[in-house]
Amino acid sequence: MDQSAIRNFCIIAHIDHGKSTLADRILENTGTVSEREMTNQVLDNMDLERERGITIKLKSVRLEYTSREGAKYLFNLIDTPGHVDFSYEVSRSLAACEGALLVVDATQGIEAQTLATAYMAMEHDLTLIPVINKIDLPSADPDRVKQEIEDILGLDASEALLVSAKTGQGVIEVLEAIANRIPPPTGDPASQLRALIFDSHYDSYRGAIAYVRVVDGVLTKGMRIRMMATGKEFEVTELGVFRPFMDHVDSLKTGEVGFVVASMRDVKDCLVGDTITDAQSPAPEPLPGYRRVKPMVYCGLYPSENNDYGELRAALEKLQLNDSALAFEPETSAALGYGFRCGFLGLLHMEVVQERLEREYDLDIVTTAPNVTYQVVTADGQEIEVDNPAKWPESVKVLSVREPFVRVSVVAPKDYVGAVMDVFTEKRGVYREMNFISPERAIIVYDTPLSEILVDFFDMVKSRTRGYASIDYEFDSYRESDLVKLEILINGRPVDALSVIVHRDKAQAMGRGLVSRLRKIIPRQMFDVPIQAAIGSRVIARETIKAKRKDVLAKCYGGDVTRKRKLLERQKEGKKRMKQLGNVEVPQDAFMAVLRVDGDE
Amino acid sequence: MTSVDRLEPCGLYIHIPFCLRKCSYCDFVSYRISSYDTARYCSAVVREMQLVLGSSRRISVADDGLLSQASIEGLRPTTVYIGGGTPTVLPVEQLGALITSIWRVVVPHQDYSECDIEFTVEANPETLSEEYLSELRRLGVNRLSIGLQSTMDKYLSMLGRPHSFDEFVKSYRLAVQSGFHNISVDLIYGLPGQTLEEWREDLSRVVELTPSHISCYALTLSDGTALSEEVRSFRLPEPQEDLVADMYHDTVSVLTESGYCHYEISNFAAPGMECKHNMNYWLNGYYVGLGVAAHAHLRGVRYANTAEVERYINRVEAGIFMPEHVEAVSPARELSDSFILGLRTARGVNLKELAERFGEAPVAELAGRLERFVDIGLVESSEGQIRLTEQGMILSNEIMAEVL
Repeated sequence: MDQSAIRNFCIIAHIDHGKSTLADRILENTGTVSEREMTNQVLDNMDLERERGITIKLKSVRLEYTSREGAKYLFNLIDTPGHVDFSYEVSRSLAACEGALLVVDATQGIEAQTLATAYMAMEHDLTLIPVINKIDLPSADPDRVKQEIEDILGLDASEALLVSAKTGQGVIEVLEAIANRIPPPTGDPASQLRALIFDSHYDSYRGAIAYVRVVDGVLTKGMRIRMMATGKEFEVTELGVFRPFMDHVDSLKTGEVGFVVASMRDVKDCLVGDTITDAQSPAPEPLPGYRRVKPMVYCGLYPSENNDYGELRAALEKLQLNDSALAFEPETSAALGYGFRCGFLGLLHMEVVQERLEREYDLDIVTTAPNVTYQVVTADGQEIEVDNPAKWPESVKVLSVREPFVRVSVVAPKDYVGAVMDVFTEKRGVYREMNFISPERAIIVYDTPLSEILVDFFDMVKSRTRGYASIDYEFDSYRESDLVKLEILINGRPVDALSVIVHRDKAQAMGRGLVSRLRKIIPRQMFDVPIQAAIGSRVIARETIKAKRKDVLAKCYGGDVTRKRKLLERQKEGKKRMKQLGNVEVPQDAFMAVLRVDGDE
Repeated sequence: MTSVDRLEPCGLYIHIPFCLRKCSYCDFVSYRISSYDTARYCSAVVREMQLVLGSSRRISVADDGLLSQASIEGLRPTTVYIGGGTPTVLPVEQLGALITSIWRVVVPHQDYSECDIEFTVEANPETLSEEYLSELRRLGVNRLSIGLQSTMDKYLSMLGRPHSFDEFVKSYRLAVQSGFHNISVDLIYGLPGQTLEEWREDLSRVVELTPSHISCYALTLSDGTALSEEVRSFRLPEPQEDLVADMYHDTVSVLTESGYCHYEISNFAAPGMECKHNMNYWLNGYYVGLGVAAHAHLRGVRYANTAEVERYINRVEAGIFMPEHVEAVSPARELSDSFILGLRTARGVNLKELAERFGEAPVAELAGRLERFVDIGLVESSEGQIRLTEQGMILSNEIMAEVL
């Protein structure tokens, strides 16, 4: 089909605003899938995604559409991830499109994530088509939502489409708008090949599969290709598109979207954002926008049972085949034994990896509290990156410290503005701006240390706004902060896996909170166990777990020794699951205690 | 014929699984007496006794071959303990007949009044009439273990006991008058809401009666019992660990000051009046168990009968002796059992004795695991004898889990 008939687009929407349902309706209305094939929400196919209602992996679908005027079109619907951790991936998906449907719930209005993605789409010069969804609901207020779209995004909302993806109302108008309003791709078919990798996926039979948008030139089967960022070369063995099921083609032309198989070992061979070119006749310049993804959040992952170390490594290696953003290296903790320091894009990414390790690989793991990467300037003028509190230099050697700040936007009803600002104040936020999206709702923007939002920021905002707020954040800059290492000593011994980096002003409260939390988590031992929080050699909080006083089976009924043994065996089993720190048995929960400490507990 | 001096002493336990009603804390095998044919049960017990201990000892070899004729050869009961349940809820003729049958098997060629076999019957106050007591005495029962549990009626009713403290005192005095000189009284402490003062009062009221033996058990809240349900749903307060520990230490000091020996975690006796039957358990000796849910320990094997009365009766009546839970006891397991049980007693375990039976190395290995408890004052060790201290006894699970 002619390049001028191609429309590449994606759907921007907040969770639960109906992205998947609208995608399903589009697939149905273009005859791409029959209703029989329509499992609920075809595009989300990982269990985890379904349970969490978020899309982690993106894919593309090719659709054929004949307009009311009888013109034939080729649509490529490119799915985008819906979480801030994956904003780089989102930007690459947007770069593969000329337009986007901006879906907003007619009862809820614009949310923070929608805003962030919509702004990003505007930066990429995408044509945005506002779609107001769920107009069948009694509480729908499309006029208010239109006003929000105009006020905050500056879009002309008079042409916003009123849709109910659930009932199918207005879906044809959406398809017409895609055909008529979104421009065709502009690439040069005669130029050297440049194809943008906007996603990848590991398949155990084919190796890594790259999802690409051909920007210039033609990609053909059998071609020797080069990845312009890494310089790696491969031979294309398969090319294809999804409709939505895999369909092989011999070439992908300028403007087309599809997948490439080329004996690539893992997803590091086809990094998202990289440009594929023809190795015989390479393009002079790669496409703009590629960057190496760097982990933002780190934590230690340890097997509960020390002899599962090998299994944990094998599982992480397998996950890495499909996840180029996951980083890990071996680490040893005096408290937890052998494990790995793992780097993630963000909190959700971390949770997803932990959950997959436990669910898909059936591993029992202990996770230490997450931390960010700090830039420390030492007294001798060296600058080091610290991604693990255990590697923090002695306090006398620290000259200055910088930590990553993120720009956080919260959209909330006006009555909760004060509550949201209070949370930011507690989290060392620096005020940027506040604007009203509508008379009822405001967007509040603060610059906040990433480390402060790792722990309970989301829960705090949600609970103090009764769930009415939405949150988005993006990396801003490294800034100087007065940070110290807070150490926890159990029975006089520092426990590496429990140390945290905190702001000096919060160290006292944090130390007290942690110590009191640990006193509750660690069971009484056979002797008094002091728990201390210290900065350097200065103890700032202390509590004592009093010695256990009673643990006895008072009666041995009628010679039933077996029952007594079973009881003792269960007790011994329970002890085995604890980590032995010197003479003290510590349950694995303790290592996550930091996550649940509210500074002012 | 095995010659008398080669006979090995053992205990004989008989379980009577019936009560007037179930107490709120009880998770042992006991059933409401009104729904059962107790006469038939007693006959079954006698039949089982004949199969296991009678002149024509006949044990069906278990499928796995663990339990065999050899397991019981040469054993001679030297203590008898009828426990429950409440054995004394049985009509006196039924219990009497059972006792007579037991004597016939235990001392076939001798007058039981001339032997020194300890013969205990467990009893609850509400069942002990003057007639009942004098009949038991006449039949050669020489030790009574009476369940009192508390001297305060509010706790007796919390525990679901069908008697008052006054009724207990009355039956206790009747028992003494009937000629019982060896009477044990059971008490429970650490009850929901119970104060330290109330428990001291319990102790002093019982000491005043000067029984020869007192058992004081810390309450165990077992899952599924009415009492634990009450606590779990916050209708009753949960007993606090520190308070219960204080009660334990008070018990030890009050009773030892009153002349009792603290000879096992929960047991106190006037000098020489320790319960021989129970001591045999703690010395990891052999014993035979008869009746539902009764446990036995024989050479190289432990087994238990079914807990179901119907099933038990039907099997025994069919002439089959086949316990439900049979497990082999390896020497290593015997050794750790000897530690677990022996450490319950004030005497503790004697390493030399154990080494003779199990070898030096494994005994030294287990003893070594206990060393760290010596430093923190829970275990004492001197001249090859290892024992728990007063503090160690109430933390005994922690210590015993080490020797598994």
